[in-house]
Amino acid sequence: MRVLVVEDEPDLLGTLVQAMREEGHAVDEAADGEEALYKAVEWDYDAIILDVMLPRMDGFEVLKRLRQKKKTPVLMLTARTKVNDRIQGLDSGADDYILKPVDLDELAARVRALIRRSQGDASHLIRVGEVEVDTSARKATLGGQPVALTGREYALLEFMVSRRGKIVSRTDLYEHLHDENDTPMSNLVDVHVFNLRKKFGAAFITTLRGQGYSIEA
Amino acid sequence: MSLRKSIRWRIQAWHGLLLLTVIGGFCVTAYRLEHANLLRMTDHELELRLSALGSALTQGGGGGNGPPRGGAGPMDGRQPRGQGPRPDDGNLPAVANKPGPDDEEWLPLDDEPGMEGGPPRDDPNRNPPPKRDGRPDEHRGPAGPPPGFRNAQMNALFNPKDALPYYYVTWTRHGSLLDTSAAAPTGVIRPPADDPAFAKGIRTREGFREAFLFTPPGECLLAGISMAGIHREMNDFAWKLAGTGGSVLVAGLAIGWWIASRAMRPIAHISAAATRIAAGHFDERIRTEETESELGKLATLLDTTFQRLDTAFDEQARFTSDAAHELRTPVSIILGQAQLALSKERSPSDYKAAFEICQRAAKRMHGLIESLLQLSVLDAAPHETEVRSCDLADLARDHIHLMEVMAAEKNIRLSEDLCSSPCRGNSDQLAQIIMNLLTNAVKYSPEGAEVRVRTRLDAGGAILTISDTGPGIAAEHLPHLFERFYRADASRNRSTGGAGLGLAICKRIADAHGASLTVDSTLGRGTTFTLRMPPVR
Repeated sequence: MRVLVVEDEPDLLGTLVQAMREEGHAVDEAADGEEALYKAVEWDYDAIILDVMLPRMDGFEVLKRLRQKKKTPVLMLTARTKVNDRIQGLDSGADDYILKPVDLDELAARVRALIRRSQGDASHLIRVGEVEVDTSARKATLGGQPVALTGREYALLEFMVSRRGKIVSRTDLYEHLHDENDTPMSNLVDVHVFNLRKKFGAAFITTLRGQGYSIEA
Repeated sequence: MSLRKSIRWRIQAWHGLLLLTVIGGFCVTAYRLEHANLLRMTDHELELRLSALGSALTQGGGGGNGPPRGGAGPMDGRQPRGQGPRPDDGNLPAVANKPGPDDEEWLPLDDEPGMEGGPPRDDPNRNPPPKRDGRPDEHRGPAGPPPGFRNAQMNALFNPKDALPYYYVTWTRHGSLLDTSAAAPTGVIRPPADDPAFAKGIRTREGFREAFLFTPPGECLLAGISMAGIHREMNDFAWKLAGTGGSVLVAGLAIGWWIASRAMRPIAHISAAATRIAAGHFDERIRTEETESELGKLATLLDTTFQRLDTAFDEQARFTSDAAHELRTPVSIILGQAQLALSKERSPSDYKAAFEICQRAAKRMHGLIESLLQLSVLDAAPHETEVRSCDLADLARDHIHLMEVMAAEKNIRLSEDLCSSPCRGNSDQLAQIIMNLLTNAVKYSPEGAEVRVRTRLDAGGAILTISDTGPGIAAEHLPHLFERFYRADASRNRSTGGAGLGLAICKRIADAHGASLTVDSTLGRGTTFTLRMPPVR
């Protein structure tokens, strides 16, 4: 999944970005409010981690303007413990908030939950035929047997499974699995799809010529 | 609140006590005056009757024989006594005896017992005169008073049908009972007559008030009345007084209570408001309308105090919240980096990078904590600084030197114009002001700018100015520049900037020195900070 992290403190930004990457997300970063708003509008992020105290435009303002255009799930990051701040955040359209100092495991879990909810899944276990994907443990089984997957393969599987029954274009896949710094090598998507078919069976992912891929619900 | 401690009850108690004293004193005085007045009136009546009695007696007793009593009779002679200023008894003989020739008129009525065959010459004191059963007329028999004695006037004056009739008793000069009226009580004793010729007087005896008189020949006339009437009248009067006094007391207490309530109402209002404020509603105010009254002034004063306390609390809360906020970011970094580093096996270079990040965050926390401590010390004891003579020019020169490397990196020119500017202060703290201001000037000025330090001495005292040709500060930020955690430039990255305490510390130090620290800035032109020390005395 592709996530935007917005934080003006460079060391904290670096820490959050690293943590999200190690969670298997493709992560973009922004250090001020204007950059954050620009990127959030430009790309379809699966989730945005947004600090409140930002230079140029504070987090509440970014959120307000973003909500005029998109429903991207937003998790507010705040050092303010006052209830009012949290209420203001939630009222301006935040989906969740987390207090500094941040526990990275909690942050990761909240981001996962946010993404899951936005795609309409109630549980971290997604079942498609013989295949079961555990988005919390980041593991998949085929007929109860664990299947070994690379990080990219799992990310592609999770993305496809979360959009089961829908056609996922190659561009979608590319945009949600790579961050802004990745070099565009679109055929890598085909390689990952090829590998997933080898592990879960050729019929697991269907190719719709000229449109993309699909997993039957 | 216990009753004993309630001001309202104490006022009421004192008021009641005072009222009771005044009303009680008034009632007692009124009672005594009335009593005296009644006695005087009674005495007057008695004397009136006594003189009438005397007059009647001499008319009747002389009576027969003597010429009718003229205007110069004893009655006339005595009348002035009842009306005018009362002469002492010594005057009486003079009056009574004034008309020498009148002496003959006071004929002894029973002088010659044998002649008249009057009442037995028993000891009159031993044997009370028969008067109830023995009517005076009959017991006197032929020797009784002359027929004219009981005329209509006497009947009117000694009417036995009155509720409390006046009575009379007369004795001969030898002490034997001459005559008594119908209403006379038993056991009336002839007054002792040391010198009967000159004696007269008034006595109170066993519930009777009696006036007596000895005629010059020695007969004793006595008029009396029961004191029961006076007692009854005084009783009635006492009840009336008590009733009226009681009503006045109750009314006074009620009015006092009302006044006390009215007077206490603003206090209760203030108290209630203060209670609510004390309970944590710091935005509450007393808000009195009568700002001119004494209590109104108190309320206004309290309101002002509460306002200041409220502001102080707010500032304190904001300061704590800001400080917590500033501390949370480095804590987040340290925690996050540690968590990441420990989450899986990493290369030595990854660990090193994590440690470097943690170190930076820890240094930042350290700086912040030092600043907070310094501020709290300055806040707690702003004037407990070691004050010595120092020179702003020397301090500036030393620290410009320290800034040269940093300035050179940004190609900033440091210029100085230092005239000796002696002042008194804590040189470490003053040096910190200079360093903070210089660091800010160099940090926020673009490459190639100029930072200029001037010191001079004028009549007001030593002055230090540090000006730069940087971007300037917008006017809207200037009033807040010295506030804690205030950042004029929101876009400035917080990792390079401080926490926003530097200028607050400078301001606090300046305040502690009685100095002023001001800022003047024009956007695009530059900023000038001015430290003005108080004059050295």
